[in-house]
Amino acid sequence: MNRQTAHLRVNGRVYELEVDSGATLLDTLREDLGLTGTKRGCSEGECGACTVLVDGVTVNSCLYPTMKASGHDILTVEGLGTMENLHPLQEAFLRGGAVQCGFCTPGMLLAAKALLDGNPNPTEDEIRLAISGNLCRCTGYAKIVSAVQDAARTMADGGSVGAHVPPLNVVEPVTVRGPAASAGGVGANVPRLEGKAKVLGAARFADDLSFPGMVHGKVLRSPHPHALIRKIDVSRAVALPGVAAVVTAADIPGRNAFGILIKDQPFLAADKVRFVGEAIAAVAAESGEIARRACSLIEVEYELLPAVFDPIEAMTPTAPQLFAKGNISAHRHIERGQVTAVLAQAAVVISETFQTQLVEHAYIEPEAGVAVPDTGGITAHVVSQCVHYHRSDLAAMLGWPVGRVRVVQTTVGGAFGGKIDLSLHPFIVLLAAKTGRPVKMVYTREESITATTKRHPFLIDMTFAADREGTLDAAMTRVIGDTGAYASYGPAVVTRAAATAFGPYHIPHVRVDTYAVHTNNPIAGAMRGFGVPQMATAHEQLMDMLAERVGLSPIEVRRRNGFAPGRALAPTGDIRDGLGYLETLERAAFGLHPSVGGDGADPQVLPLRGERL
Amino acid sequence: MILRGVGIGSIYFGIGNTGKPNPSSAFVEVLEDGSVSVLCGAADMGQGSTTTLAQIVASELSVSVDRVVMTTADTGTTPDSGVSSASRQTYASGNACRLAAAQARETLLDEAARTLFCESRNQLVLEDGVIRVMGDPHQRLSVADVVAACRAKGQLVVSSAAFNPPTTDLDHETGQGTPYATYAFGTQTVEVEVDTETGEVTILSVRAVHDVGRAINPQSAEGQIEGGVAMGCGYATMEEVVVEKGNVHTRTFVEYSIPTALDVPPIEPVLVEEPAPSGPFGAKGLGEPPTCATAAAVLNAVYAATGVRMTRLPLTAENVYLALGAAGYRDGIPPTSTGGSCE
Repeated sequence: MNRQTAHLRVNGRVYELEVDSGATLLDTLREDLGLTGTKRGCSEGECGACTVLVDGVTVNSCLYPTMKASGHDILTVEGLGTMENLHPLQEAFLRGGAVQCGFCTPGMLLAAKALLDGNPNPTEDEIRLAISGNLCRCTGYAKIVSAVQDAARTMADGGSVGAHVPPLNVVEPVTVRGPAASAGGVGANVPRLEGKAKVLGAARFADDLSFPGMVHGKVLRSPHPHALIRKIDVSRAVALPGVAAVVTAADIPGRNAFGILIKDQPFLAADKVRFVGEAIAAVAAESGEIARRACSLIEVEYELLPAVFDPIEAMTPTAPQLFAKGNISAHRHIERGQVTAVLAQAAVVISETFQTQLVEHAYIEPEAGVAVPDTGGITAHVVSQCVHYHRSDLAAMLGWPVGRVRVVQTTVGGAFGGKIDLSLHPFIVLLAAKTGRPVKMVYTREESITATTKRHPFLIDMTFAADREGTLDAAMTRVIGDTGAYASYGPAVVTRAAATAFGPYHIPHVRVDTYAVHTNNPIAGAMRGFGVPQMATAHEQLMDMLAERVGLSPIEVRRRNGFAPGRALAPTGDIRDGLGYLETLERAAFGLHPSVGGDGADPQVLPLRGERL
Repeated sequence: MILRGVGIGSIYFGIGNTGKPNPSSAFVEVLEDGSVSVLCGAADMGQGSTTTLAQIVASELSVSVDRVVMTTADTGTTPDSGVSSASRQTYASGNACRLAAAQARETLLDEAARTLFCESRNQLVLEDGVIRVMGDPHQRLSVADVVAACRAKGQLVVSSAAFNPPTTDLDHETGQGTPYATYAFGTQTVEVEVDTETGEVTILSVRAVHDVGRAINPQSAEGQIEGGVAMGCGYATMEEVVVEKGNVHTRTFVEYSIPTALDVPPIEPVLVEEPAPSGPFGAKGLGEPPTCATAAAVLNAVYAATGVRMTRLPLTAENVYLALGAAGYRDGIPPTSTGGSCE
């Protein structure tokens, strides 16, 4: 690639530097100038995390050629405000709770700045449009939109940067029901403690870390859903100049198996692959590009196996079996009372089958981490929701005493259950152990979507039995969850789905069977809700169907059956305290049209225009 | 034809791992200037657990939250606090932090009682970094002075605590047991618009009412609700990882769409506080519940609008169009007049 000279004016400072002619502005900002406040979320101009301003106009710096920016003014989050003098937008984001994980924040701030520069008093719709190219998975955008409005007001009140901004650390004193009042204690809207670093672009996410002598890792993955590995030849990859190490299952000194509940997944596949994207080998090299080329030089001989993609078929004995123990990873059974007898005699029986889909966590920050060899061990600075669990499996992989591996969570850009399982952690730790050098790895968006866990698709058969007044007497369900190639959190997801199968309703007689079933599909594991969103699609529709059958409103049928003190028999037994359900129901019903069971008090809130109910 | 409908969805959510031990722990040290260092293994991925835990410690030790310094999620320094999942950190790590802080508080009060010639720490109150004798406002010591007194005799004000939610495993045959120590509840109502000619479902508004036990940080709690509902909206109408013979087709954000600021409707978060007797200051947990009810409410709203039960997620225009067709809709016109009203 040609080298060219770029003249950049970044945050008011002039730089003259040699760059590859194909370099993107994001590469140049992050790698050459060390301005890591601008984030890489997708490398395809979709997520907006890399938004910067070029001559005041928003651009996705991940696609924007550095040479195109040459001679122009560039503003990144680092140029927006300072520790002592935040920009009103930064101040408003912080004060208004618009910052959660903080990964979208720099791009969001710059999109908002470009808007306010041209339109100091935007409407809500204009704000939403202006930030519609910036994805946020944490906030639902509500507090971002109001923060932009807040900042617009501050700036209109004569606020140039930093003017009339209240001091940051002011937290309101509150009276608490605990031992004594204290500023910022329980009940106070304390801004995120790490929020200031996040709005300044100073928070260090894993991809922002760099260590002397660091090499870069890439993974070779299976193109087949189900196959035996006959042979792996890494010799050509090892011989490639710039390659520091290549590892396969044969390089794992300890236990080649992990999993938070069941250790059924190999760190690197040894003899068999069970899904497309399963890791087979990992490479560390002087650059990510060399590591990628090395991966393509690894030769793997497969013997293809018949695969199974439908969990119902997978449960049959004739289906291809992923494991010697069979395809059923977990089965949870709950049985109380006389379900069959009650169903046979019930005045009203409602039954339906529901199907939910496979879903991606879609945190904006892809998986990333750096493993650094240090005195006597390795420290992994990584994305994580559970550093101690990660340490345990990583140390077992190396056959080391647990404490020799240290896992430090970096600032994490959203997780939602998807950063519980190990992803790139074992690869960088293994490569660091082998090379004695810091090893960094960052997943591409494609890797993040294809190789890591997802939300379980559920097939749910559910039946409710009630009397003519709509009082539930029995419920029954059978749930098949496609847990994909490995257990991950699947057994716990179907256990939670069973334990809270029928929603917050008192039901004496229950039967529940939930299954986590292996297929050669992507792995389903933990995702925000853990089986409950799936089950709710079934029990909530059955409640409405029951209401219609017995002539009650949707609110009234829930009022009649909802958990209340002394009447809160869940599938697993009595719930005795903290029963807040009916209050949530009444608060939700407040103002609704009488036809759904509301009091009609506030026609402005959720006016009912459909007449179906 | 554009039809509108309102739907409701209720859920409950057990806080912590189901029927399994899931302890959290914390170390607390009151430093020489009276500020507080807390070490806790709980991982904050953006949900705000670090701030929440600091607020719990601030209340327990009656110090300003900006004098509480948190170190979290580092196996080299922090004790094990389990996984940040199951909506458990406010409850489990919150209890661990509170218990550790309470021990440090007792150490401080015991020492202060000796210095102030009180028979028991119960005669003292700790407030805003000052310990004073009840009924005698002139008899007082700063926390920093008490720490100095402790240190002068070789005692550090350090404490540790662990908390494991009181649960039992589920019986293997019957499934009966106490799988969770406390439960969060929620009800959401949504209003949707369905274009019967295209099948497009638009979520117009969501009210999300959640029982959190006690809102340690109401703004943060609202943020959890708004973000959870947005994810629920994506689940309801947009998102699906398409897999064919094990190959993922939706491999990028171009192919896998999540809600943008234009897709997420106005959300009205409402907090209900029915305390958990075993929770820190009554708190339960909130990370997951807001995501759980939205799709269910949307499904009911689409039925309210169209009279057709959708049994398959997501409610993309294509899926809804096909379902309406299967239910007898022709060119967007319902088979009978029982559908929603025209707009």
